[in-house]
Amino acid sequence: MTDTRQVRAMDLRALRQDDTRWRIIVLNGPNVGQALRRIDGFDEQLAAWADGLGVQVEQRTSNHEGRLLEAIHATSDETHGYLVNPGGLRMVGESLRHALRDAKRPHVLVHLDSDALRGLPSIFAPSVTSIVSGLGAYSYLGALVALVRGLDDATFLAPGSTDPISRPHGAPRSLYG
Amino acid sequence: MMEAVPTMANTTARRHRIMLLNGLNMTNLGRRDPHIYGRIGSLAELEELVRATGDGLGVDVIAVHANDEGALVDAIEEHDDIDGYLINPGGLWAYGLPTRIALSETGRPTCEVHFANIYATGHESIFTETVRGTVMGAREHGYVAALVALIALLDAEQGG
Repeated sequence: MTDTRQVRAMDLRALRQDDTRWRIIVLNGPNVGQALRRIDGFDEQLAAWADGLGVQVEQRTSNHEGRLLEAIHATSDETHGYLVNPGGLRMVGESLRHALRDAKRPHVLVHLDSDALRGLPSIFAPSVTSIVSGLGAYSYLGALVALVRGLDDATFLAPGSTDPISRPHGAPRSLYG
Repeated sequence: MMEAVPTMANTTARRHRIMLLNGLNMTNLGRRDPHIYGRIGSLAELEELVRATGDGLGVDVIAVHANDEGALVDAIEEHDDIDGYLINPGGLWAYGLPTRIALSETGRPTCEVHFANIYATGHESIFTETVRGTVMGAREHGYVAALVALIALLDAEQGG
């Protein structure tokens, strides 16, 4: 049983290395809106985490893949990064996956439950910048912290960074490929 | 008249204890490919980042690292007062079944952390099959993210 009221107050700003007010869009795909409505006060928690970190976070939640594509197309020029929970599109959302890659912005795959990573592989997992999964609503908290710290880091995801080891476009890297 | 009356909260509550496990090859941090691992200087620097972040959030971090899998299993078995685990299995991602079993047997939440998004090269960690949480592809920032999320999860499930 979880009780969100028991979660301690955290100084999230202290986790940052910069104070830029990054703009982050949270994309929730089919079936995700319904799952989030079952979490007590999810929207308020997300807003509090954004406020604590000092970043701008907006949610775009839809059961229609086309709406998510249009949200990315319309926002990518002024957005620094995305969180994406593809929900039911995890095996079939090829267009959503392409839209995220085309946006050339860091994007973090989020799942409430890691069952989404087990068994048949997600088509999103190999192409996203980062993954935060399995920690319920706190997967979104972890994903925001990871993305914001990454954007604050001029050797990693910071927009426009030219450091040779930076990846402002958000393409993933792994060993021994 | 004000009197100091002990409450349940301040007599029974203690800081969460989080064990940070770093597995095989992580002692070589600082000399590994910076495109994957970034410019963090050493494993000690990483452990200090997690410890200081934990301290700022009010939890204790017990850092353990080893290049022998048995030492990780020993450390997990020797501490019976851990509330949650963060583990970067390092080279054990593929075959670290003894470590995975030891973590499962604690019954406590575990979050695995990897610097790289290992799916990008077609790898799948055996830890993902059983651990509660997975964080990958965010370099050292993933450890901070996993720690914050794990603390919130522990608070929500068992009280702060």
